Amino acid sequence: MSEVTSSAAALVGLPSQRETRSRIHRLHFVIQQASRNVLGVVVAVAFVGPVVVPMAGWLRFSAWAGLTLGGLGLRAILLRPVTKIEVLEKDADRWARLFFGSTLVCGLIGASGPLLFFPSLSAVEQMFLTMIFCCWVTAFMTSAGVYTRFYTGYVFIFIVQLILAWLTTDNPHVVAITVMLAIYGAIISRFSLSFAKQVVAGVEIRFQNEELIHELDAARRTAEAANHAKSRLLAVASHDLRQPLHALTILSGLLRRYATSEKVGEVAQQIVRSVDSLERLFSSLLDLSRLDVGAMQPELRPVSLRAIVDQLSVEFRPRAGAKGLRFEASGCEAMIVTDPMLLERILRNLIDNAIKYTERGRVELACEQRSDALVVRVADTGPGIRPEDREAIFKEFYQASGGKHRETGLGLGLAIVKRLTGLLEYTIETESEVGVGTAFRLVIPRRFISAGASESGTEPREGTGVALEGFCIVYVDDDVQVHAAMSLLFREWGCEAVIASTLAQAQTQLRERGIRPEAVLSDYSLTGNATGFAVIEALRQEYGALPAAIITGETGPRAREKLQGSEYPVLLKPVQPDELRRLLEVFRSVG
Amino acid sequence: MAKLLICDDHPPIRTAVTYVAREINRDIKIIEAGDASEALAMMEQNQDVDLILLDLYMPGMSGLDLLSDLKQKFPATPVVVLSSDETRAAVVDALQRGATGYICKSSSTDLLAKFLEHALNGRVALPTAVVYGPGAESPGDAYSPTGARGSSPDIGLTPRQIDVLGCLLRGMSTKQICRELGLSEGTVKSHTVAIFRALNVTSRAQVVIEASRRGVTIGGRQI
Repeated sequence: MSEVTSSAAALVGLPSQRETRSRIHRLHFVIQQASRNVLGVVVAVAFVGPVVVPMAGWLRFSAWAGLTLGGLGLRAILLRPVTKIEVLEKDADRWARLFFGSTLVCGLIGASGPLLFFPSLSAVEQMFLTMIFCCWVTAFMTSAGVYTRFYTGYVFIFIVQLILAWLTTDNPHVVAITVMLAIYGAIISRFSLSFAKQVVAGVEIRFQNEELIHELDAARRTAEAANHAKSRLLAVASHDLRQPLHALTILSGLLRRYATSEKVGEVAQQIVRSVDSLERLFSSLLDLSRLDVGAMQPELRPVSLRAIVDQLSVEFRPRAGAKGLRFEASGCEAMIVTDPMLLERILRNLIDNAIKYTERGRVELACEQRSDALVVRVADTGPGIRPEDREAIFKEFYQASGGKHRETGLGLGLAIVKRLTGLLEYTIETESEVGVGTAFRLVIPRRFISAGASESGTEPREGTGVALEGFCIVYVDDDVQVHAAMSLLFREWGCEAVIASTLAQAQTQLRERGIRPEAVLSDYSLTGNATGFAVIEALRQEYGALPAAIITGETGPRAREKLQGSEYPVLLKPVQPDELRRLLEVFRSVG
Repeated sequence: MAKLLICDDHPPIRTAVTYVAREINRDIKIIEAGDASEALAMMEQNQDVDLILLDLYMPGMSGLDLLSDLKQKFPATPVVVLSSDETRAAVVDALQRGATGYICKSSSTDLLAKFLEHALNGRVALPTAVVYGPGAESPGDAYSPTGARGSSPDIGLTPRQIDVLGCLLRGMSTKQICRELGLSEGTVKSHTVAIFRALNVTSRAQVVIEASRRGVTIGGRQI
């Protein structure tokens, strides 16, 4: 039977890995299909029943039908494990033998029907039965037809038994019927050959496609990895590449200083300029590759957009003026959360380009408010960008004017702009008319606009976020009324606070809770003539050099005199939360 | 005589910086190190180094770790970082670990000379962008303090507190300051708190940045 399994495989040459896989898939398909075909057999049996039962009796029909369907049922049970293709893969030949063998046995039983019933039937009923069995064997092609030789054997079993059945009758047309049955058998066997070829080819194509997709995927991944590796190499290498360049910058600067003649000075100046453009080129390339490998992470903080616009106009107005261009700038009073270095880089590149390409007229830097965004517009009265170039200008090394400005850049500016806008999650819109000018709009989505548009223009101080979580503070004050408020404040900041009215209470609490204080805050005058100084001294004795502060509500001359030379900061009641927080932040970083 | 240690794994950089340093001070003694272990060995042999110029990317050890190491072993010697990493985060990180200044390698010769002169004179030198935030020109630009040369502006500190500030600017830890100035730990902490409050800052890195903004010199040993 294994010969039968390999016969289909033999249709497409030597077995390869794909060949094996496709063979297994075919076998799986056939077995599944065959189990579905059992329903067809049930229908056939149901048709045979009414015809033969009245003539041949229940007993004979039941025996035949029972054996036929029982056999198929047994086959189904035996082949159940292979509904999972993995099982089939393990031992395909064994399952193939089991399937082919059991199917042939079932066929043999089923096809015995005519021989069994013909003697009791009339000629018309015999014809009817013949037709049913022909249908049966033909329908089986849809499952087993793939295996031509096996299927031919199956057809042979049916046709031979039908012929034998006819031969037992005394029908005058028996010779003709025999011949016709033989021809029919030959035709469907032959037909199954082309059917098998079609199916095999179909499965093959499917596998080839799968393989191609696989290869394509692998190739794509290789290409991506190579690109990534290139960028990483560039990023790593350019650090080392830039070092001699830095040295060259410094040395050529020295050379210009040392120049004894005007000519040497001129040449030195040229070298400085060349090195400078080389340096700029390198940093652009480096930036590009760092952006490509995702090595550049924005450092977001709130900044004033107005300050950035003002700065850029200070920087670019002289350059525009030198070229005879007007430079107009108007900023918005808005605080945005951004990486100022990267935002400035974007705008600088855009303005730089505008000045570079504009021969007369003006360059404009302005803000526009939209309902859902803030827009920074960089517009010029330059030559404009043709519609077909609008996408391409954002590609690296692309220059719309065909290299006329090559000395001043490599065409990396807008490529960097594009990547940076993506990194900051902004979008960029291009509007341009040839001969009229160009406007780039940098669209900053609303979510980056800082709600606290306070302190217009001033920078919020950097690092106002020393975390106070878990910072352990002792607060001693005999005014119990402030305890609750202080406790609330400390809890809000995430501090671990020990709040007490006296030193002894604080010490007991610390011991009970088993914690070490990290800072001390004490009221100046406590009950029983104790002072804040004594509290601080005592806790320092016990827990080491803690940062400490005195809090007092007394502003009288005596208290002031006492506190004048204090080495500890003195906070006046009522304590301002901001002031206190800042002090605790200092305490925490001083440690 | 001033003595400068240049740590950078690229000889051209060391050469260029040497030239610039000699421009500032013809008699300056310069020693060089090409990696972390060499830098530590050089410091062992030359305890009288007045200033260390340190590249942040060197083979053997991360520059930041070497910085911490140097501050631990030679707390009194100011370290100024010389790097091509111009991001604010890199600068703040270096300051937090005890660097006294930060010089960008992409600076022009004039700028580098000015920075180096500041550093050799005990003045904190930082890129403008770090000191003033965005809106300042570019990170490579020098900051030139308006205060009189060589003297710190009055920021309302006692002489002792000024000593502590000098130590803080050199990146010394509280314990190192205690040893250096012969003060108790509690006293040093109190002075440190007073300095932070006077400068209106909450971290070590900010102390250095504020000092740079106000043109404070680190005092102590005269270079």
